[in-house]
Amino acid sequence: MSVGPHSRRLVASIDQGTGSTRCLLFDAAGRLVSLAQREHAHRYPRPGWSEHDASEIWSNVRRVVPQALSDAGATPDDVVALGIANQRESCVVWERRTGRPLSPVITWEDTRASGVIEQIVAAGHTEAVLAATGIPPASYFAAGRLRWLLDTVPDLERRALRGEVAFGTMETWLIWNLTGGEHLTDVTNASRTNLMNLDSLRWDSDMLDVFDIPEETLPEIRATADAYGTCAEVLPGVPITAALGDQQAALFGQTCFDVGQSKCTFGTGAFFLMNVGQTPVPSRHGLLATVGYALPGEPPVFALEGSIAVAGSLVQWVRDNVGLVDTAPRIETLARTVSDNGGCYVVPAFSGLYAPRWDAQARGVIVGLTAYVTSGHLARSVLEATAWQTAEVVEAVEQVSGQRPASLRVDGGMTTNHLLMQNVADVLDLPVERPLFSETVSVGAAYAAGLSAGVWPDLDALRRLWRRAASWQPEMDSATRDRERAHWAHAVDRARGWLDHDPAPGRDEQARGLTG
Amino acid sequence: MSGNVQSVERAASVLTVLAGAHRSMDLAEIASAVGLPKTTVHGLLATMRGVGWVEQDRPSAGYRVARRLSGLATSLDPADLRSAATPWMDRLALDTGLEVHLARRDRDVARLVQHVYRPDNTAQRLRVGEALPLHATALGKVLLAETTGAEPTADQLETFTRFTVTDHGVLDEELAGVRAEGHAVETGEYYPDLHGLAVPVRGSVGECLAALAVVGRRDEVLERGRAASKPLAALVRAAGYVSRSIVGLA
Repeated sequence: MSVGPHSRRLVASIDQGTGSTRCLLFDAAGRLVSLAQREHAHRYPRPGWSEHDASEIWSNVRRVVPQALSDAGATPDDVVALGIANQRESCVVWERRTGRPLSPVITWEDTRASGVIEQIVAAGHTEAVLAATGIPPASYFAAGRLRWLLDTVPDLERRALRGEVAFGTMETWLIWNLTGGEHLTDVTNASRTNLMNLDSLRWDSDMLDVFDIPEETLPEIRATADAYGTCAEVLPGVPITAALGDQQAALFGQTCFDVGQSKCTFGTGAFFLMNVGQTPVPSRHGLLATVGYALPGEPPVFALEGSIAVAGSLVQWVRDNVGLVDTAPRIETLARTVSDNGGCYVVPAFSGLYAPRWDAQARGVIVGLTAYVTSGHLARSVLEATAWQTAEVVEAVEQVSGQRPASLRVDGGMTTNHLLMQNVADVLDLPVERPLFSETVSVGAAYAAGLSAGVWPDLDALRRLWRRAASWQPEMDSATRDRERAHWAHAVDRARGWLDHDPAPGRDEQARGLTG
Repeated sequence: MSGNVQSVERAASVLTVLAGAHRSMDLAEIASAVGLPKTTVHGLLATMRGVGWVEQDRPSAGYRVARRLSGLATSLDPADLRSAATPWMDRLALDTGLEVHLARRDRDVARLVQHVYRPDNTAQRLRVGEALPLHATALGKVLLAETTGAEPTADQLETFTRFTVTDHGVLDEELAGVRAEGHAVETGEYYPDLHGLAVPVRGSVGECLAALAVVGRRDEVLERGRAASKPLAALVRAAGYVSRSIVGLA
């Protein structure tokens, strides 16, 4: 693989994630050339609060990009385009004149804006917000955080109204710093703010009124693969040609370009997204209507998203808090010591039940215990909990969209767990496929950037880069599936409404601590 | 000074042999494996037992590496191994265009721990958990050459194709070659159309923990009947990365 210095056409991607910031370089064949990453500090100053330092994240970008270049023996001249993927809904405000952050990064996990959202709901705006933005008002999205900052940071609102303050999600912060002052966001990130109109893909003036947001603070919305300006710093002269939220980047990296194509990323939680085509499917049953991606001059492609709060984190919990296994992968070895769950079911409703059930009063349960049940059965039921939660989300997506995916493309750390992947195929009754390179978020940012820069001519060229590394076919007979589904549903019923039975003070905080 | 170095080297070679074994070994076996007189090996074992590097279940029983020291080969969980190896296996498949296998010794078979498809999107079946014959696959020959276990008897050298080696003498000679060259070659001995190369994945004391292989058509893995240099180099590099990722897991 001797590539001459003149023939190098590398695409860079930056993945600004919750835990770390990474830079990956890819060649024109879509192959990883190098990877550098750096973790940043995560602060939890109060219960429910979660923060990063925006300056630290920017300084990490300034380290990891040169590191990735030097590992590849490359210079910025070898890089034809940069794409950015980022943790969604996390946001920050800064001073336009100096670029100095005026707040910490308030992350997607942070619930401090609950009060703002309660007021908006109490004022009866829920339906209007849902109709305009496709998503319900929630402290999970960015607008509530910006309103909280305007209410709380001294002098911020006055300065914002005078146009001195810039607001942005993480890609906006990085683009500002890389280009030296371009204030831009992409449509997938903007679709997670509660402020963008899902039909016009512009800031919605009614929503700006509802959340009382000065438009002067907001970045301009661009397509996913679009011209975001040229880097002045870190990669001087390199154009930024794509930006997108991390889950949408994974959808793009899995090349789910056809209606009905779906991906699920199995990490701490799990995120399922299905391409629903050029018309958004309204949010229902806790599923979220969101923009999948938008290419310049083409209609946007929408996605329906279902998230599972507790997936890999349940395995971490039985590792760290229960001591069932020493390492997360060993849950599979333990589960394979038995041939079924022995009648045991785990419902990991650590902070309530999410899509499609939505019950904040629910808490986790382990049911079906008998003297027969061993640690192996418990390990099986831990894995089955992730499979059943995935099945429920996929079924809800089918109901709401009328689309049944033909297969499920998976990525994330848990995809090396063959027992889990087989179980997912079995309970979904769908083939499950893992692509060769599981860093789909970074791949998606690079694909979008390379597409925009002409490294790849069209979506077909990207489709051809997708390579199957493993696949699992459904093997469970329908009678077993129906019986197990009924048992799972029965177990979930036991988890519901738990807090109603015992409203002891402090219990809520304890439960939150388990997931934090 | 040189005498001290030699005894350290000898102790290390004894440890490596013991660490690669899936069972305890007696003095005669160890002496024969490291090619030293029994008296010398006995002295080395007594010293290492004294410092807690080697254990015996009871006096006169066989020797094994102390659990606290290593025993990676026996204590390394297959799921941990798979989790650590998969990114490097993916990259090896992408770099070579070949199917990639990872296997561990499971008594008298090579057990597939992870399988990455040939990256051409053709229909393939996941073979994780499958048992491969030790004497008729590249993976198996690496494990046979580098680890100790139930050795196949003459009547266990099953014939799969007309290329399968079923003569113990010929097999032993080939295994000596594997140890000398550091890789094994498979040329249609299990399935007539399948050819492959395999190398050991080593632990912290040089013991063989697993074997990593690329599998493809004859012209993809062989040059004039020998391992083709490009896929072999990629394979050796990947095995090194896998080793580094798993050392310290157990």
